[in-house]
Amino acid sequence: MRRLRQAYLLLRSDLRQELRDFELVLTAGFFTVVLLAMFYLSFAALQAKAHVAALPGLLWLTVAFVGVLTLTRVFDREREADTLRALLAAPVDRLAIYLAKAGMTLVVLLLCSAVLVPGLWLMFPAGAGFAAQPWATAALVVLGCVGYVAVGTLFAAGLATGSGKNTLLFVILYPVTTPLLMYALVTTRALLDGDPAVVDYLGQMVALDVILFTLAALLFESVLVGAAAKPPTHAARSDRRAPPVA
Amino acid sequence: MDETIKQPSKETTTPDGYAPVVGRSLADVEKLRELEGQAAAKTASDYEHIVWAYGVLWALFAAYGLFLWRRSARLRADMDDLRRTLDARRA
Amino acid sequence: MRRLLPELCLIAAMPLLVYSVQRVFLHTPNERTMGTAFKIFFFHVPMGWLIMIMAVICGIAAGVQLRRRSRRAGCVALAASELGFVTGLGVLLTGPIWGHATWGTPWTGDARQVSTALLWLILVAYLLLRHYGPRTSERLASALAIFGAVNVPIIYYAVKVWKTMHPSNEVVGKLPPEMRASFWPCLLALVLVALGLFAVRIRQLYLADELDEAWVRSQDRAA
Repeated sequence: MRRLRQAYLLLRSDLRQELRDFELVLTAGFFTVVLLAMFYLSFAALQAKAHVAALPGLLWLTVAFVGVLTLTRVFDREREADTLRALLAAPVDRLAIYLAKAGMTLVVLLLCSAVLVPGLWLMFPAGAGFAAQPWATAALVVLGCVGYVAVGTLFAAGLATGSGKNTLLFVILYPVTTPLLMYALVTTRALLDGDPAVVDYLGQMVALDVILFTLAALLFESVLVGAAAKPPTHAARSDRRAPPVA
Repeated sequence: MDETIKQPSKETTTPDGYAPVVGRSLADVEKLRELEGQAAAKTASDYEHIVWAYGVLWALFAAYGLFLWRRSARLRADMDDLRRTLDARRA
Repeated sequence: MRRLLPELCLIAAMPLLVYSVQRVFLHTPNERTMGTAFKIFFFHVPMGWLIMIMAVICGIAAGVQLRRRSRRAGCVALAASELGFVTGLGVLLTGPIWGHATWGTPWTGDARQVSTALLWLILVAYLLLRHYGPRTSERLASALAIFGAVNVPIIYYAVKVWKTMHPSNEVVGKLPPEMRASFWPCLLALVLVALGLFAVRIRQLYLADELDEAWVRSQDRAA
């Protein structure tokens, strides 16, 4: 209970900060719109049959790209203000930090998805499947985003150090989230085709989300403590060549 | 194959006691040669692929072996550096 | 005995490699439908097993490193990921060569092929993070390796589900019994080679760590 309350307070603080200038929502939202425009330019000329095959990929690739942008920005704030170590020094449950950051990213991702799904439906006629089953679409988007955020928050926290090597987040996150991506693609295709098996696939996504969330939550404390630790004072191996003694 | 390629008959003889010249028809022989050609081409192509596949595997292990060798050399040089530095400090 | 493990493995592998190659090429019958190109299978499949084994070893070692802050476990994890990278590259290159020879297409989208490629990507990500990550990213790398190991079965099931969008037949059936006798020496030879290289690399990494510590101590003393 205490943990949930701490998570709620941290999330509320992040949301309040976001409500001041809407920086994250606006940048992520605009990026979503830009991606929609690029997809339209790239794929509008294809036949309707090809749109049905392409739509799941367009949806989930956008979620993946916007997700990384959001995760990077969420932890950038902590890095710029150097509040990560302060958070760890405070008597705050580490899992509460994880839930708060994941919650913040999820809120932004779901807001972007609220633009993305109708956008895809408007641009590509094959997206009528989304409107035909709104509840299943909502469940699919929520489950996909939850799984993505569960894994992404762990790795973004691990890279939230002063040196800011954010490019590595792309390198790490995309391979690890491929199973989730595959399930999301299959479920989306089943949804668009009106396949009754979509309920089974949604069930499997729930199971996958539980596994990913549990694993990430278990590993979060170690990773965050490791990331917030001061880097070693001695020179790295590669730049520590002592000049040979004459 | 047995249905299309007829085997020469051994039983019949001409009225004056000679065995007739029998054999496979030209069409049968040509078909046989074509199939043999296809089999030979497939075998040659297979060998080419096998050579490439095994070559790739050996090249990968050789490259990794080379990498390990170079790392060992670098470690040895590092150790010599350290030894020299410590000796110089002791002296 | 433990000190000589790498040398013993590599020395034992040498005659076994010669034996397995001569067995595969001179004493193994050709497979009925795939013909001579099937000989690639005898080294391709052991490499596939090796990448799975190395991914699991990497994940377990990373877990031990995370839990016990063990440097040796960190060395084992990195060495396992490097061997996994090499064997994975071997599988991903020889597989399409075999596919091209047998089915005329290098990439069949077989569930095993795709899941091996995805696992290989995770191992590459781990290597990049270990080599180029910030100095404080050791635990993050361990978390990535653990995710990679846990992902081994998940990826396989995910690809099977994904393939319902791209149906195609299972390409490799059961191995006929007369070929199994040729398969085991090849597997053993490659496992010994991988084990030998693995042990050499662990020793190198541990030595490099010890050397780093020695340098730091010598600089502290000088200061």
